[in-house]
Amino acid sequence: MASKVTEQALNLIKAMPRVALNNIKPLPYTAFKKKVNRQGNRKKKGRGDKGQGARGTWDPLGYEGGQHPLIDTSPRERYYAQYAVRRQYPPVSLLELQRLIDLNRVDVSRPIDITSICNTGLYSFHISKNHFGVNLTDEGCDQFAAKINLEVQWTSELVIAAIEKNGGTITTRYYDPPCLAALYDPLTFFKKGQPIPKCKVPPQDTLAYYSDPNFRGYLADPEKVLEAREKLAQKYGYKLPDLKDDPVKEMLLMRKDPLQIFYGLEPGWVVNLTEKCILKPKDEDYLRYYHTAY
Amino acid sequence: MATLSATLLRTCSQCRSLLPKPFNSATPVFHAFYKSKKCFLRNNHTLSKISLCRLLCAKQQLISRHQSTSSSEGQDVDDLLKDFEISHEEFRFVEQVLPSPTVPDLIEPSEFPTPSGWFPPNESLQAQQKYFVRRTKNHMLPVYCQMKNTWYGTTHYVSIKKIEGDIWALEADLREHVLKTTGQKKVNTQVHEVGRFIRVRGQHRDLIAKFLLERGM
Repeated sequence: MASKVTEQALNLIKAMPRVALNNIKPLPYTAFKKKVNRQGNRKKKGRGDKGQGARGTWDPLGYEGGQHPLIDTSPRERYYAQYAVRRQYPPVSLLELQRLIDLNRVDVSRPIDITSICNTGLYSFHISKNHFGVNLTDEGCDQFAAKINLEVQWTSELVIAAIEKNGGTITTRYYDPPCLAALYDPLTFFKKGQPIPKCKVPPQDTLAYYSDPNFRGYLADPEKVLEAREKLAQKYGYKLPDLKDDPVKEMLLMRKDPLQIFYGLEPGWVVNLTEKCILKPKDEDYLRYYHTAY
Repeated sequence: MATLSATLLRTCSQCRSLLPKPFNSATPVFHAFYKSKKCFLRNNHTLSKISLCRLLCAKQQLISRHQSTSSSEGQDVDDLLKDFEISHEEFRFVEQVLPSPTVPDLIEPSEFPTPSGWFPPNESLQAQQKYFVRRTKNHMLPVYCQMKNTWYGTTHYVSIKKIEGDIWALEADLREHVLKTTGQKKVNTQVHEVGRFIRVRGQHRDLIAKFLLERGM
């Protein structure tokens, strides 16, 4: 039961007009108070007497009274020049890779590439942020003790030495962004039902890196790579393990085709996950597109 | 019905002449609608009536087109199916690439620590303690660094999570250990009994991890 007061109030509200644009106004004291010029119009308004201060004609920032300013004389060091356009390679250290191998997150009996590192769920990158894959850094190069066939996107000389010392092999490989999307999350890619993309040729500024035998580029001459392996062993003073008598020689020398992105799967094939089969198109024009590089 | 069909037909015959012209040219349409006003079923919605006529015409065209091309379409479908080769053998390469839904089991290594410096939990040492810190699903210690940037400066914390048993005993041991090793005069700690975690102020991550490993956690 409502009291008399509330009934009266309700009746009052019923009698009043509806709230509309024509009858609303701001609450009292919500707006700023207008500043009153107590000095009147004749005084100097807190700016002092005469000069640049009173007239607001100060020198521009960095101006040194006609002297050649510091900003012009000192050389520019543009660390972040073209930052939005540059290719980024989020790092993974050798120590982290060794930890993944120790805890059975990465299978050593098969070649390791960017997919096997991403499938652990402990490494991630964003294609939208111009990330182009893994940069393997040299932290923990002394502790590294695994014999692997590795494929990364960027490395240094010391890392290559650390891996080849233990009898492993390493290649640097470029992937274009659509291929990286498929490699980063293969399950969602296969669910789309799209054909496996072919990998493009690396852009011109990285072509030198990926065809360099010293960085084990995937476009380098394999004979020159063998020479570079021996040279690096001499430089760092370790004995290069012989690959000929190796029981896992086949695994260590497994390489992808420059157009291929998954081991054993050719570009242009379509994967059917529900029926667990692969569809291989036979059309000549289709095959010509997926088997030519440009 | 006969009269209705007659009226429809008449309107249609008038609209058909308008069909090839685009929709935007409004004037000829209106022209037509004034001329054929008598034959509309509802005089109120004349414009919609015209569009109905247009639709009918378009539908008839579609049907006629479909009938003429239906024989050739069947052949196309057959060609598409013949164009593919289906293989089940190479699906194993797909299975190699797919991620495992769970964290794989550990292969028990013979030597500890492993090359990366990892120790397994020691059960005999754990039994001596009043408390227990459970490992994460990735077989690591739940010790985390935190940093807080505020206007008065930067503060560093180390938080220890997944604590079971007597949390106050662990706090006392930690406090004593940090004071002894670092030589500080005091340590600030926070104990959360409900959330089962402890926060220690300072950059003592490695120190605390080593302390927990010594207790077999």
